[in-house]
Formats: sequence, C-alpha cells, structure tokens
Amino acid sequence: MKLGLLLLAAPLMAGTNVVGPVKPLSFRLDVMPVFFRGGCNSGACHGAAAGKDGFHLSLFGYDPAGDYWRLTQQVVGRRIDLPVPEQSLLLRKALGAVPHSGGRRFKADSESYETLVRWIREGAPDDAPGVPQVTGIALTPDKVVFSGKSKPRPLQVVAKYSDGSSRVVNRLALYFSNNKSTADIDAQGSVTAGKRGDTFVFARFARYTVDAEIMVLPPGRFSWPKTPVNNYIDELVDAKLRKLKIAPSRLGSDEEFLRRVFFDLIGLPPTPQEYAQFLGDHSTNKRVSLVDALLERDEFAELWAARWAETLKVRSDNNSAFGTDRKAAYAYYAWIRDEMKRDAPLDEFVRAQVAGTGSNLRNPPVNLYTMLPQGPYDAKAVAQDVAQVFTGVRMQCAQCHNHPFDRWTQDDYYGFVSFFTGVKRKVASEAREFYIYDDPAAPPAGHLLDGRLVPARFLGGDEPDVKGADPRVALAAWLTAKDNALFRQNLANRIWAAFFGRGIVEPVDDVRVSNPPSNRELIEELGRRLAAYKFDAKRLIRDICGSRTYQLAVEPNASNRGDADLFSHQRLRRLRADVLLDAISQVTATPSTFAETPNGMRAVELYEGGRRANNYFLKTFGLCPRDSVNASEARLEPTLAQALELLNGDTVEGKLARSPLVDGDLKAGRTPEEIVDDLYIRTLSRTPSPAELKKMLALVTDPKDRKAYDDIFWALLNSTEFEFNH
Amino acid sequence: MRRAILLAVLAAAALRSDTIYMVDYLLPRGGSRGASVEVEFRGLALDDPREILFYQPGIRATDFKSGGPTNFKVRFQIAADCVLGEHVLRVRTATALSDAVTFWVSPFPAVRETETKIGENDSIAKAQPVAPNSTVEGQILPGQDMDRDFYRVDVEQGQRISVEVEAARLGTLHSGGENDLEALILDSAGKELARNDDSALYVQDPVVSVMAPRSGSYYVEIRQQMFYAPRQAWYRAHIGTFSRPTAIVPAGGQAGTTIEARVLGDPAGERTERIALPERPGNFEYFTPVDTPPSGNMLRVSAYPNVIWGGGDRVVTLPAALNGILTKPGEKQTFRFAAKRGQAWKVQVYARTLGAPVDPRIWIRAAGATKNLVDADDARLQDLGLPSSRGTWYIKDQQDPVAVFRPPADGEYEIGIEDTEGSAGPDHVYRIEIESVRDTVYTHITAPDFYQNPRFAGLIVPRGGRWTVDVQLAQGIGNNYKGEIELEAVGLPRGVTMTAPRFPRGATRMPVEFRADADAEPQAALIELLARPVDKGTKLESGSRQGFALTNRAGEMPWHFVFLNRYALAVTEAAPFDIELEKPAIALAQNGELMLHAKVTRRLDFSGAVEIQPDWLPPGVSKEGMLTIPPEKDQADFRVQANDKAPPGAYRIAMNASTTGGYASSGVGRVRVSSEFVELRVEQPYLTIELQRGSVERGKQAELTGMVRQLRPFEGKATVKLGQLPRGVQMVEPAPEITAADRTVVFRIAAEASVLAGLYQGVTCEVTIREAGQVVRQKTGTGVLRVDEAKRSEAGQ
Repeated sequence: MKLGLLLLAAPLMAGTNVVGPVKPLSFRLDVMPVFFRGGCNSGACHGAAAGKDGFHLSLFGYDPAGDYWRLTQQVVGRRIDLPVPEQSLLLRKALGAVPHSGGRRFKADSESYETLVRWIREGAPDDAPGVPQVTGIALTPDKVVFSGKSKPRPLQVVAKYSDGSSRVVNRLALYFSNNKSTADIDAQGSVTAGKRGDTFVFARFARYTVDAEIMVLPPGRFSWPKTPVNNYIDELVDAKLRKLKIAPSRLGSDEEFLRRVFFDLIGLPPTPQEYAQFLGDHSTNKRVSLVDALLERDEFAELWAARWAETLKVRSDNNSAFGTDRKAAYAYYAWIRDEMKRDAPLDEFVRAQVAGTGSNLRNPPVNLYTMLPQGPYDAKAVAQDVAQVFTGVRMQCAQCHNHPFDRWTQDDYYGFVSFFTGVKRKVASEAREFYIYDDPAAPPAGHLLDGRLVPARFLGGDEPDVKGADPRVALAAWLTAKDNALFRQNLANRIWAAFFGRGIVEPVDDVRVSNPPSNRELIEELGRRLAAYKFDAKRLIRDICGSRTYQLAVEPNASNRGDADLFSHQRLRRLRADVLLDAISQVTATPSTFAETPNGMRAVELYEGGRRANNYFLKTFGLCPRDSVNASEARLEPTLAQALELLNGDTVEGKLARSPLVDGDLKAGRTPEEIVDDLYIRTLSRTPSPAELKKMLALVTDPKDRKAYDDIFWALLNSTEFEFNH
Repeated sequence: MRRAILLAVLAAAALRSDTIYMVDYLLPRGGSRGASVEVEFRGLALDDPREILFYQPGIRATDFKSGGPTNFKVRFQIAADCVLGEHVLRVRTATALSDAVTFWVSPFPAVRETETKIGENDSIAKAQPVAPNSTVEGQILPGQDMDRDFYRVDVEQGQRISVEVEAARLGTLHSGGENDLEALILDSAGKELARNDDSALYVQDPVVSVMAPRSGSYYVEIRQQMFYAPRQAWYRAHIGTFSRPTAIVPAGGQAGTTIEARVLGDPAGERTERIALPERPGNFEYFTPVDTPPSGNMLRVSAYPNVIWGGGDRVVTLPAALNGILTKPGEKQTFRFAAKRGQAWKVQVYARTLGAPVDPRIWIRAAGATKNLVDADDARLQDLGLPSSRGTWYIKDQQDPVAVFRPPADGEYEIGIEDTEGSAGPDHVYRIEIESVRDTVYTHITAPDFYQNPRFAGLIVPRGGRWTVDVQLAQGIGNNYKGEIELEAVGLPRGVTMTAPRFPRGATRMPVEFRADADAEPQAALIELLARPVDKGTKLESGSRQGFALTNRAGEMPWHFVFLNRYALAVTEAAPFDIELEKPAIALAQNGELMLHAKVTRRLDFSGAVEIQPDWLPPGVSKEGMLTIPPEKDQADFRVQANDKAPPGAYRIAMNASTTGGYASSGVGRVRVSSEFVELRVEQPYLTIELQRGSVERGKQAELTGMVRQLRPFEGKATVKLGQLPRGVQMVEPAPEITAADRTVVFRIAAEASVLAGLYQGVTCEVTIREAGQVVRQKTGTGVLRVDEAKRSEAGQ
C-alpha cells in the first residue's frame, strides 16, 4: 500500500483537505481503528480472553489476521453479509438495532459506521501483504498554557507509517486526561482548561500513547516570594512552582524539622534529650549536622531494610518446598540490613540479587528467586516483579497484548522474560537450603501468539549475546548501568517518596508514558545525581533532607492549597504501622514483644514484618503484608479499627499502665508543668502552647496522683498530631 | 500479649502430652572416652529397663535405676578407645524395645555449662572459662530473651582456636526441632575473628577454626543462628586447639594401600599425611594424628586404584576411582576411559557425601562427541540404597549423582564433572568411583509414618509369642536380578525363628513372622535380613537398611537421620495373652463379607481388654477399624469385606492383638502379639443377579424380576433382599428365597403415594447364604426402577 492510497482514504476520517477518487479501505488501517475507537476490542468487551457473547476480537487489536478471520470466516455470512451489507450482524449490533450487551457503539450517520459499511460493500477485503504499519504518533502542540478562563484548544494526532507516510487520526484516536479538574479532553481531541495546575492529556492510537502538557494558570499578577535556595532540588522545584504561579509554604520550625527528620531517617521520634540538644544548638548548620548524624545510626539502615524487605516480599512459608523457609527469609533480610548498614551502592545491591547464583543460605541475595515467586518458579511472574521493583515498569499487560497505555509490546515482554527462563532451583544440603542457578541450555520464552522463541532483550534496548552464559549477568549489568535512566530514576523516585509521602512519579512502581512525573526535570536530575554518586543512597538522601523543599511547613498558603504533587509544601503522612508502634514503645518506655521474636526487637526490625509477629496493632495499621511487590500494599489510610485500637486497644492502654515514666517524674519531684512539658516533648516533640498547658494543668487536681498524667499521656498518644509525620 | 504467651504455653503442653516417643531424650547428650557417666532417660513406658542395645562398640551400661514409667538412670562406662561421635542405641525394657536415640562420645573431657538463668554468661565479661580441648555440654535456655553463651579459652600465639558444635545432629528434639546454632570466635576486645552458622561438613552444625594472632584469652560464643523459642536445645561444643581439616585429597584409595594425601582447610596450612587404608571397601573415617579433632574426615576405600585428574587426556582403565579438586569457578574436569558394549558401569560421585562443599554434576559422552549419554546431577535416596519414608526424606548425600552407564558401542568415552552452580574452592574435592554394577537387593523395615514406629518398624518378640512385620525389598541401582527371593536372617538370638514367605517376582513387601520359644532368654540383638535369590546360581548382594528421622520438622522434611545396616530385635517377657485366628472355613466372595473369628487366651493375672485387627489382608479387602475384646470376653468376630475387584486367590493373613492403654498409633506402652498366619481364600461370588428394568406406580405394588447367574454351588436356600430402593419404596416381606438351581428371583415392591416419580438407578440385591455355620452376605447387581405417577383414571377417582 502506498502513501497516496492512505491519504485518499483519509477524508472520511478526518477533516483534512485532500480530494480525489475514493480508494478501497484497508482492514488494518481503517477498519481495525474503528473497533479500537469504539471500544469493541477492549478487555471488558470482545477483547476479553474468551471474547464476549460468542464473539472474540484480539485485545486492542494486537492480532489483526485473527480478527479478520473471526469476522469473515468463523461464522460465514452472518457477521458480515456481503449481499446485503447493512444486514451484517456486525453493523446491526454496533448500531444497537439488535440486542447487544455493549449497547449502541455509534450511529448510522457516523464515520465509523460509514467505514464499516463501505468496507463490507467493497467485499470486506483483507489487506495485501506488506500493508504499512503505524510506527509512531505525535500530538501537537505538545504543550499548552491556559491563562485563566480561555477557549478550548484543539489538538491534532498524526500517525506515521512504515512506508514514510503520515495521516491525521483525530477521529480514530482515544483521549484521556491525567487530571480532569485541570484539563479535560473530549472525543475530538479538544482541551478545556479547569483549575490551576499542570497536567497531561493523552492520545492513544495503534499501540502508541503520547502526551501533551497542559498548564492552567490563574489570572492576575504573581510575584515569587524571596526564598533561599539550599540546593539543586529547590531550584528545580521552584522553577516549576514559578511557572504555575505557586508560592511555597514557609520553612518548617526547628521542632517540626526535628520530629520529621527523625521519623523519616530512623523511624523513631527524638527523645527528650535529643530534643533538648537540638533546640539548644544555635549553630547555623545544625539541620545538616543532624541529618548527617542520623544517617550514621543503625536504625537508618534498619528502616531501609524494612522498606526493601517489603518490596522484595521477604517472608517465609512454613517449611515450604520452594526455598522459602524461615531461615532463607531471615538470611535475605539480614543480608539486606547488612547491605544498608555498610552503605552498599544500590547498583551493587541490585546486581547481587538479579545475577545471583548459589545457595540461598550462604549467598542470601539469590533469594530474590525464592521470595518473589513464593511458590513454584514462574519466569514470567519473576520478570514482571523484577521490572516493577527495579525500573518501576509494570510489564504484565504486555503478556497478553501490547501494553495499551505504554510503549511495551509483547516482544518486549517475552524478550525480558527470556532473561529468567533458565533459572533453576533445587534443594541443597537440607530441606531449608536451595540452590539457584541458570541452566544455559534452557530455551528462551515462547511468544503467546505464535510460540516463537523470543531471545532475551533489554527493556526498550538491545539483544545481548548470552549464548552459553547466564543471561541474568548481562541483564544486571544493563539494569544497573549509570546510563539506564529507568533504573536510576526509579530508585531516586523511591527514595524521594520516602521523604514526601509520594513520588515524583506516583505510584513509584507505575512508570509509564501515561503516568508522567509531576516534575520531569527534578526526577531526571535526581536520577543523574544518584548515578553520579555511584548509587550511594545516603548522598541523595542528604541532598533531599538538606533541601528547603523537604523542610517546608505542612500548612499551605493561598496559592499552594490545591497543590498535591509539586512539593510546594510538606505533606501530612501517617506513620508506618511499625514506626508508629515503635514510637509508642519509645515514648512510653515500654518495649514491645512479638510472637516468635526475641525480646528487645523493634517492630521495624521484624524480618518478616508483621507476618510472624502476629501483632494486631501492626495488622490494623496496615503494615505491608508482603504479598506482592506493589508499593501500594502498605496501607496508610485511617480505619475505624485503628481509632478503636488506639482508644481502647491493649497497645496504648497496656503500655501506659506499664510505663515507668510518670512514676519516675513524680519520684524525682518534678512539677506538674515540668511533667506535662515532658510528655509533650516525648510524644509531639514540642512544648505545649500556653493555652494547652492551662487546659492540661486544670486536669491535675492532685499533683501526686499519676492518673491525671496518664490521661494526658493517653490523650497525646491518641492525637492525630502524634500519629502523623508533618 | 500475656494471653498470647499463656496460649503458646498451653499449646506446647498439649503437644508434649501427645508425644509418642518412648525415649523422649537422654541427658547428658554424650560423654568422654574413658569416663563413667550417669545418664538419665526420659520418655514413656520406660519402667523396668533391662538393657541398652548399642549399635557400635565401646559403651557398657550398668546400674539401672528405675524411676517409674517416665524415666530411669543408668551408668555408661565409656571405653578409652570407644568409637568417637554418634552412638545409636535402644532401650530394652521387660516388655518393649525403644526407638533409636543417640549418645555422642568425645575425645575431650566434658565441662558442664554453669549458666542456670539467661544472661549469666552472655558477654565476654561473664564468659565461662574452659580449658583448651574440652567438650562443653551446654544449653540454649528457654525464654524470649535470646540466650547467648560465652566461653573463654586461653591459647598461645600460633595455636589454633577451633570450635566444632553438635546440636542439630544430636537430634534431641524429635519434632519442630530447630536447634540450629552458630559459633563465633572473638578476641578479648570483642572483635570477631571468625563465625560459622552452617558448615559443609555438618550442615546445620558449625565448625570454625582460626589461628590465634597472639597469646591470650579468646572467646567462643554459641547462640541460635536465628531466634526460635528454644526447646530441648542442648549442644555439645568442642573447644580447643585441634586441627579441623575440611577435606582430604585424594578422598580415598585402594583397599589395603597407603596413600599420600593432602590435608586441606586447616588454618595452620596444608600438609601431607600418609594414610593406611583398611582392607575392607566402603566408608572409612580418618582422624588426622596431628592435633586430632573430635570427628574424623570420611574417606572412601575401593577395590581398585586411584586416578588423579591431570588435564583430561589420560585414558583410564576401569574400574577406577577418579579424584580431583574443582578450584576455579565454573571449572569442568574430564577423564577418558575405554568401555565395551554389554558392560554396565556404576558411576558414583563422592563429594558432598564426604563433606566437601560441591554440588557435582557428571556427564558421559563418546570421546569427541557432544551428545551426553549420561547426565546426572542429584540422586534419589533409593539410588544410594537407602530407605525413605513417604518420599520426603532428603540428605546432603543426594547432591552426589549416581548413574549406570551402559556403553552403546565399544570405544573411548569421556566423563566430566563440574559444580552445578559453578562454585569452586581449594577444598572442593570430589571422587568418582566407576565399577561394574553388582546386582543388589536391599531389605528395609520402614514405618509408613514419618517417625520410627515400633508397631511397624520394631521387632519385639515376647517369649512364647509371635511378632509379624512387613519387610520390604528395594532394588539397588542397576540391579538386574528380578526373580523370586527368599529371606535369610543372620544373627537371630537362640530360640528365635523367622518364618518368611518366598517373595514372588516383583513383590516389594511381605509380612515376616518372628517367633520366640517360651524358654528363649529375654535379650536384644542386632540382626540382618538378607535377600537371597531362589535361583542359587545367581549372584546377588544384599544388605539391611533401616532409617529414622531423629529431628522431624513440619512439612515432613526432617533434618537429622540415622541410617542403620542392622535391625534390632528384642526377646521380651512373655505377653499376658495369646491370640488365635481361626482359619475361615469358607472363602470370601467378591462383593461379599465374612466374619473372622479370633480367640484370646489370657495368661497370668492379666484381665484387661485386648484390641484386635487382622492385617495383611488381600488387595481389595477392607476391614473395620479396631475391635476391642472386653475383659469379660475372650472371643470376637471381625468383619472383612471384599470389593468386586478383589483378585481371587489364597492369601495369608494374621490377626494382631495388643493390650490397651499407651499409644495405639505407635504401639508405645502396649504389648502386641501376632497370631499364626491362616489362609484366606478370595473367590468369585456364589451368584450374580441382574435386575430387569421395572416400574411401579405411586401407591401401588409391582413385581421386580432378577435373572440369577449361578457361579458357585451353595447348600440350602439363599435369601435375597433388595437394597438402595428409592425412599418410600419397600420390598414386600418375606424376602424371596432361591436355591442353587434357580434362574430367576421375583420381588414384590410397594410404593407409597408420596414417592417422587422418576427413574432410580442403583437398586441392588443382598444375598444371604448360610454356609459352614456362617452367615455369608454378598451384594450383587444394579437395577433401574421407574416410579410412575398414578394413572389418571385412578387419580381422578
């Protein structure tokens, strides 16, 4: 098929000004897009694996040849009625003229209908071999700035074909917006501005999705407040805010910073001594010094070990036959923790796991291949998890069809799976020990459609030569290379999210074209820095905690109230379940005990999280169950059970009853003011306001009676302020 | 939380009360050469201990002090030249022989850990001093606080500090055992010099040895590798200056020769020793004479000479033992050999078996070819000639492959070896023994359960009584002998006889009877049961193999096993009763049932109940569970049933009977005897009845006819009843009677008005015949009955 033919077919579809004799339609280029646009081949309709109501189309049209056969050959004379095209079931169903679960997809006067009816009139021909394929699409303009209320702006989608031709496909593409309240896009590709903000709209055609950035600015003048810049992070965040006429919040106070950075870096609140020391320090760089000191504490490594152990599903399955014994889970956890303690560069950390070989007890990082599957080995599931954890890309859609919202094809998918098809596991010296190794003779993955073996290929990259070698070694090298933006940005984003409660790409493990970063320059720079730091996470964390952006107050101002993702203020973040429990234990000076765990362990140190500890508190507050690699597994939203647990549960009640603190204060002869102050500092890292102090002291009728102080203590522990990092 | 702890305690208590082990544990868990140690046994049904049966020489048991059913004490006199390491033993009481347990012998003086409460020796400052070359008998104390035990040892610069721990290997805790310890060596500043959790030599048990950088005090810390609420967590830690080689190469040699061997893995450096090998092929535990360690290095003794790897070009003459070290990661080492079509070579690797950290894989291919004729990585337990239970047992030795190579043609072949994971190191020693396949059939006595179970795996013969157990046959790898087999018993005590059936071709399991004369002395003995070919001209090797899991874990993946090459048999005091099974006068019909008549004769002053059940029933024949003959009765009838596929034939069955109390499933705490075998015949049924398709209207009566096919004559009349009729349809009594001459039988049936109309399948006949004084019941036929609506005309009335 030649360029001319395509262009001649175009007038039916789009408002381009090409005239000339009408040429036959192409099944792939003209008819298939109708099914796509009409939603006929979506997963909820005929694109489902088993089809719908007896009719199956390939999902999003990945298999045109099969679709052609099903339309024209599977039930001859019914779906397509050549003598009376209008009587074709295909058309009657689409119009809703006969009962159709999907209802009416388009009207009889629509272009979609015209296309189908014309194609049938022409004899429903298949394409000649070598029909051009779509090689890419473009959305123009790719950046639109609305200032105040303005008229809708049309965008244009142009598809490019393998024969060098191109075509406007506005009426065949699908559109969606990342944030409808800022910018909505209609079925013709026209964008309407809404609230102030910065978002993306997308067009989808064939297997491509492209975006255009839409900025909506408030009317009127905006003057950027004078704010100091601590480092490159502030520059990049401020640049974006300025464009959107958003002013950042004020800098957080010393008390706010102290509590925030303690929780974020070591998962514990500051002790009264640490509080006094920091507040009493009048040096100008005391915040940086505090960050440096906290980074060197073991608790810092333990908090990161808990995070990684969650992401990597470190958990045992009672003496399982799959290498997931407790000893293996513990060995993996202990390795992660020790890697964090020695500041292992993250590229090394990941390579050791991805390319690991040997005993899962003597070389624990190979447990990537026992813990991710948590059962029989499945190369596809492992490939998906590895991609999701280390690049943030979710590949699973591309297993059955080319990814609808991203650039990944089935070939990309099976090429990536092929890195893992040779992995073998077998029991070693005893039932708990497994050997993990690669069998170089194992074939690569077979393509779902035709069973063709797809050689190992990097995501969006080359096919390495892995003949006779363990392909995971090549994969690990590619993955962790400094120039692999996917890897470095994913890690940087995960680190960032730990300090802001959300990533620059959010969720952190859903990197795709249709989920762009809220500040592209920022994530790119953080990724570059992390690589330049030789993947030393601590250096990046030092930058983040040292930035003014991190240290901003939570309270919004008039201009940034609506900002959720540009980091113009800090975010209120519920403490992780384990951190919250450790905080309660620390502030009440009553350590927690856990099932199957020796005394003296904090919740953060539980090597299987809450799985073995069997702790109601941890479960209720949503500690990550480690059932999947999804970052969303740890739940932070409030529930009634959480409120009841804090109000009435054993945890707070029991710890308060056992706490020696108030008795100690009373014995030491401290005044009610001193005791209340102490309780505030312990729990909230601040002293009470005069009004608060007055109210509290009113409760103390007998200064020697512990009860009133216990009540105050209880109230503080039940306050939202305690439960949150801010 | 407190509630949770209480619950945990209760759960543990429940578990303990459920324990079925006759010997739960013995303490101390070992002793020293030349010492006299008082050992306490704890368990069940331990009253009246008479003898300790040891499987290895060197320990004498004297001075039994009974403490009732749950414990006794006995003195172990350990000879100065006693075999070191694990000693398997059993207790013989007046009425039983216990399960196998272990006692460990050390060359060093024993030192008791002094800690009584967690924390008393949990730091360098509080370390308990021990003299170099002592064996510490310690315990990880129970409690949520992680117990850490520190010991101080003073050595000179240039001496070794070596630690070897026995903990998991002790196999003390039979189930849920996680006594997995770790050993650390620290200097006086607390700096860690070395640590080991799992060792290549002893799997879960640590072995660690370093050179002392200067004279002074060093500290050994023993602790759990990861926290498990400790239970029965005893350990024996050998702490000293001994040499602890991790491997020796070559790892063996020709029987009766002296080899020059490199001793590897000692931190003091490699050395060469001359090792005189014994005359008898097999395993040989070698103890280096230089600063002798508490355990040896396992070597192999072969009937043929060694070949040391030297590049792969040399052509080796078989049989031979090929030796080498995989020193470079991913290294493959090859040898060439000439072989002829028609030969059968057993190729067995010894690497992991000997404690080397190798996971060997071997392949054989024609010289210069690329296609593998043999490609072997791991072995099954049965390939190693060892029994398994439920197929879940696994030992490290299985990492060593064993295969049979039958050359497809005369020519030169290449054998190669590598580590499956490509690992390598200075002590990655291997030995490949290639020898002609020898036809071998082993005998096993294995409990069908995961634990040793005296009811199935013990040989306890009361004087004047019988004990019958299953003996299994297992083919050695490459075995070609498939003919009939007879059992030979070697070492039976005087007055004990074995009656074993001839094993037909292909039989893998037959009941074997042991009988003790009334005047046989109560005693225990180690015996062998050997498979002998009926065809006397055939050469067949055999051996007895019994295995027990000492530490069972959830998922039936036990940790520590003992594998024994003799069975223990005990003659005990006479049983207080005898059991007699009457030979059934008639055959058991397919699809029929039969009563087995048993009679108990109580002796002495015994007046208790007796439980009986017939065993070794023919295939397709099932029984009710257990039947109890109460004290006031001495006879019982036991119902057995045959399904329609039970193959006709003559079978030997016996009745097993036991006292009540104790533990029925394992047999601990019970006295059990077997009856004599009697013959039970399974035959085709007397007759079959094919019901004609019939119908009945609701609220009416009708006739149903059956066509009788007479298969076997019977006396008198048989009564036939209908069974499985639809609800609301009855056979009208009296039931029809037929004789051996009848060809049809007619039933009257009545349907109630409320019966649901429809087609009913599966109507059967139950035939009752009286023969030889027995009522014989038999089921036959399936028919179809239609229930119709009442006819309209009648319904309208």
